[in-house]
Amino acid sequence: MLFVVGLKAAPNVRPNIMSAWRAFQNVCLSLVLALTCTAVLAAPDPKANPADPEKVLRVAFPVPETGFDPVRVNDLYSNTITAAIFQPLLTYDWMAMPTQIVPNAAESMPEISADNITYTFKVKKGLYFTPDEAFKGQRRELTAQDFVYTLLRHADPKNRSPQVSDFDDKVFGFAESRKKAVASGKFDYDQKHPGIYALDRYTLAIKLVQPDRNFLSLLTNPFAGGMAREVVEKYGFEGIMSNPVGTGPYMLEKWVRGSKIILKANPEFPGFVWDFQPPPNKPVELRIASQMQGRKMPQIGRIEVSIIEEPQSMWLAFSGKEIDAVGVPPSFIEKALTPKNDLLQTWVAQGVNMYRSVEPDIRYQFFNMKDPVIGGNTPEKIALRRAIIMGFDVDEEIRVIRKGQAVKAQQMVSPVIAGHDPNYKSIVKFSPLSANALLDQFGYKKDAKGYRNMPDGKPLVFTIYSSTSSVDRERDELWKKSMDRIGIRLKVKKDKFPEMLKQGKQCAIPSWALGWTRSSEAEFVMKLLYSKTIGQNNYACFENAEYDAYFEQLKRLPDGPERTRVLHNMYRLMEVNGVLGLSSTGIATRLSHQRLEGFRKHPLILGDWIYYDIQKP
Amino acid sequence: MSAYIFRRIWQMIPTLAGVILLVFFLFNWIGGDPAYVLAGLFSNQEQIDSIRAELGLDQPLAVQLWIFVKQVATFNFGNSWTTGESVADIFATRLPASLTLVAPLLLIETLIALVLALGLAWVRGSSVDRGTMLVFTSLMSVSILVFIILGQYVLAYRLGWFPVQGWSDDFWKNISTYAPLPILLGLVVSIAPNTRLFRSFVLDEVDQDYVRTARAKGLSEPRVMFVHVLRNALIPVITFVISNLPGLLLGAFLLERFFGIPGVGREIILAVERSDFPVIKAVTVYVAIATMIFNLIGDVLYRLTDPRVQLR
Amino acid sequence: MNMQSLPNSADNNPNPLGSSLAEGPVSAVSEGAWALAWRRFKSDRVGVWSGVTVILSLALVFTTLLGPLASDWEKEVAISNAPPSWAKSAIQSDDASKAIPEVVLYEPTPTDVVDPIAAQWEQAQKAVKPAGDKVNALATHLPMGSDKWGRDVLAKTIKGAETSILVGLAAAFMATLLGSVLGAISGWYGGIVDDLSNWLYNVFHSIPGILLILAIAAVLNTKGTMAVVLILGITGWTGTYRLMRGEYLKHRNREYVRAADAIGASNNRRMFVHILPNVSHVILVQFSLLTVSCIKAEVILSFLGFGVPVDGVSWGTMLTEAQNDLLVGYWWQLLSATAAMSIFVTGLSLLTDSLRDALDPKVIH
Repeated sequence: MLFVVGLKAAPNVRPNIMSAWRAFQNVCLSLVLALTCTAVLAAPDPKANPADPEKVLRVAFPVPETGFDPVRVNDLYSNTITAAIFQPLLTYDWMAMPTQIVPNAAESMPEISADNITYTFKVKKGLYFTPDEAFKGQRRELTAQDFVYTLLRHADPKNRSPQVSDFDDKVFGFAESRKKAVASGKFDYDQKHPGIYALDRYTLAIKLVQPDRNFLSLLTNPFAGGMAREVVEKYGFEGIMSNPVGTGPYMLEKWVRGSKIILKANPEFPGFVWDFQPPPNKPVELRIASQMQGRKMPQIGRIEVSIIEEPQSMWLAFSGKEIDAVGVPPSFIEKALTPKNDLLQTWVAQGVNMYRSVEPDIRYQFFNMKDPVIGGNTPEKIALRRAIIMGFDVDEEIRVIRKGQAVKAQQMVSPVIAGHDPNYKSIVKFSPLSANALLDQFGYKKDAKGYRNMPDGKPLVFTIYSSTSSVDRERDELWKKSMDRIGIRLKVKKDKFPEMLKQGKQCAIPSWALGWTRSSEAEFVMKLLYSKTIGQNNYACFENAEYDAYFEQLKRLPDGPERTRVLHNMYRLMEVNGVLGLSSTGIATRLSHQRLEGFRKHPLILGDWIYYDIQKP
Repeated sequence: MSAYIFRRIWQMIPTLAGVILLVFFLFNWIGGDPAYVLAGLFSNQEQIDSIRAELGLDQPLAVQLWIFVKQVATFNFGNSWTTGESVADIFATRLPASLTLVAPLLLIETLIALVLALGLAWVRGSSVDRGTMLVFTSLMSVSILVFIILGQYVLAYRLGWFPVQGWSDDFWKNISTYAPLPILLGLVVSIAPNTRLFRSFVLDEVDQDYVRTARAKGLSEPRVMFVHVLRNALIPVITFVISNLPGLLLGAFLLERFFGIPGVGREIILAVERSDFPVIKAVTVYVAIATMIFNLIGDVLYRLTDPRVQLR
Repeated sequence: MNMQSLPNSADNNPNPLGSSLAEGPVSAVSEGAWALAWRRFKSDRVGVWSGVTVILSLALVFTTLLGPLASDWEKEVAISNAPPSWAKSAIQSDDASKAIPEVVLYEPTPTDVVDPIAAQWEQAQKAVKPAGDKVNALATHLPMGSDKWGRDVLAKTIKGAETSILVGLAAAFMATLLGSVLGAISGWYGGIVDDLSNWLYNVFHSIPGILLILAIAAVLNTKGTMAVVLILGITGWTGTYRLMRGEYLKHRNREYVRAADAIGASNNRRMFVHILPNVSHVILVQFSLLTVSCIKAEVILSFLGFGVPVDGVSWGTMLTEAQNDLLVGYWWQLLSATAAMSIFVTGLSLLTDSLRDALDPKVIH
């Protein structure tokens, strides 16, 4: 092309030495230009990833990471890193509310077969893994088989994938292939899997067990990001934790365990233009959209993550401008906000921005239905549990322990999770008076010290388990106060978290406070009380045929009044049996310094650094 | 002398065996079967059983003990159960950070305490001496926690003289920027007990006959103090310092925790919280061996420098 | 296993010139030494005042233990984080804490689910507060302020003193007892018993205290105050053992003991009737030192979460709570606990020093 242009750029060629020389010059110029352009086209387009290496973002995690194999790690902070390194087929639209799934590594949303069971994806062409020795000097393009490989790794029992229960349920042949590998001792990656397979270099298909409205949300997570088999095989089981090689926007530059993680922009990552529609009623999002619209992203070239465990150190690091953004630790909320939850003037004056949002979580106290003291389905035991729940003041817990930074929960599904019904009201309320009256009716008589015994006269001791953290200690104090009000003798058993997990799965813990976060839809939350998850996440060991039947319906029904009614019934079953004492959903307050632009949080997206920009120092 | 050393090393073996036994039976009952941590919150029984088999948790205790003994002999404790890092790596990578904090701290605190001790011994019995000792005693009654909290708040946050927390890979940056505040706080906490101890060492010397002799010979007081007494008092001081080094590394864990320093002490707390058996086992054994070796060095030094002492 | 070559504490002085306490008939030595010590002690003003402080503190602990004082420390008597009455600065109390929670109408959404205890539930909702029930007004200022639950910090400090001091004393007692008995037996009998005890000592001594404390704390899974006492007792005996062993080795060959042997006194009699009184000053001093270190160790254990359970309070738990309060401006719990602990621990330390000086014949008075 340019060769021709070069020639044409020399008008009026006169047949003399000068013009011949000029023509020769033009030819050389064009050749050079052509060669340069070819070279540029063949090599990574330096303009592909607009990230500026001088733009450095500093953030901190309050909890150490564990590792970076997306198939094996399940903690929030490790996942925040893998989300920046690996690229799943789908993601969520950055701004859309309610959340909306959009393509990521996939060219477009999948083609769904007529029977709603087979999903066919086309992978975008021209996406490359970051360089690694395993690729032997070649540029390695992302293919459909890489996604197949990642999903198959979940089925490999050696990886102990935490996602197994979801995939077992939904993907055809998944559970069988897993059991086969357990029996034979090895997973066969070369054999074509009936439920997950590639059709050609860029096309893959996933077949489900039955039509499922929530399957796609699984594919938005880093654990579904494309991984290269050669890399996994090269580094082995242990090594792959510290050698994440992906096609995502960032790559791991340096890792000091439990202390520092440094990411730098992946030059192969094609940029995008910041072009998202803000929800019309959200002023913060509107401001961000007008500020960021049209920018080439990602902008941030380097991310330095520090691990700061002590809340005091974390807060001081932010106020001392050593980190650019922070989730305000609850104990320091008064240093950030006025009693009305507005940003304090000192921060406003410094140009600090605040982002307050309801978290997709739910905290609750579960009551073990199989416990000899408080478990069981007889009316007395049901009344006991419900009285205990009525005696606990959630408002006080929110006010004193969570410093007002939470919303009392009326239902298990958090306000930002799809399926939440803002109009639902539970039958539970705080009333020690009614609790005492209920217990009196069922014959729980008080002894000389004012503590109640069982209706048959035997002593009654309600045991709650608790970890040794200071937050748990505060909650224990509130429990003691609450139970004293209704005359229930309380015993607090301290233990370590892993030990309690073990005992909980064996239905050996009478009561414990737990939380559940980042579910994309109501189904994943309600699964907590599904009888088939006893021994996994159903620590309340709740087994109710009516609830189970509703749950099966929930998986299939589309949105609408019928689904709402099913959810309401499930909530009510939980309340009526006194299975969970719902506490609250957290409200996170995040502050960012002025130089960080576009800062907000999506309830489900973990890899959000590509949507921010930062001013250079 | 070499016979003495060999004999001491020979005597270390039963002690090491005792430590291994103690550690093994103690930690076999430690709360937290790590299989459940590994399998994560979403595991099922199958996964958990395969982990237990892989980690040898289903073997009888005697077999597990034998495996442990072999590990100690080959210094190969395998990999951390929670991060997959090899335990040797963990130790190697965390040790520099701890040393960067502890070594300067030890040096400075010993020097300061020694100088103060000599000074106090010189004015022994006076109101300065008694007043200082009183102040020291009060200082020692305040918990290190209080010092760290107040120190970080006032000096780092309020006055901005130091960074609030952090660590880098560059040794010089660490020494000049990140280590000073934790070292300062460590000094404040240790100055009182160390000075008291060293003062008692010095006073023991000052009461000896040779001091009376030196004075009788007409030597000036400074010469007596800073040449003769100091030389002899240095012996228990150095012995004390050397023997205490391993304990000091661990004891700095509060400083490491508050200031975000990736050292050995902080690693141990994490390992205990996560029931990371290989890490805890390895650290305990390494530290016990280190303690024994340092004690031996201290004893040998003592023997070499104090001819009155008979080694049996 | 040579332990005598290394004097690690000021108490154990390998004076090559030999003699120590005056020799003489048993009973005369005991009375004489103690009476002499008492006279010396009385002349040390600092020591006497420390002694008074400690005795007053112990009396306070006793009173609290028996019941009347600070027994209602758990009651919510003030608003959350009320400042001390004497603090001049106007501390902004949290408006949110005074805010009346939004009144929610009780109108549960109807569903298809049947409530198995519907009748009794309806009945319970109709419960009415008995007449004459008055609500106690909550204070806005207290002598030392209040904590986040509105509990009186002064009451907590006093009750915390009881817990911390008793824990310290009990743990120190256990450690001293273990160390003394083991040391006495080891020093007296020698031979296999000595070798075994030395072996045990070396094993415990080569594992740094912190690590041992953490390990045992984790194993016991913190079943409360008793666990704390046990942990500290099991890890603290080594110093006392070493000293007592040294003392018994020294005294074993003394003339007065040989004399007792000549008149046919049994092993036990010689150990505990003859020698013990002469070494009891060492035990006493060790006990005081250990009490101090155990009280301080309890603070660290509480910080790590292995401390006193939720229905109790100690200086350690107060400091742990106050940790983050300081940064948001609530300093009174930190001040109260630190001051109380400082007074007692300083008093005990000074008392120990005075006692030691009084009992040591070589110190110039």
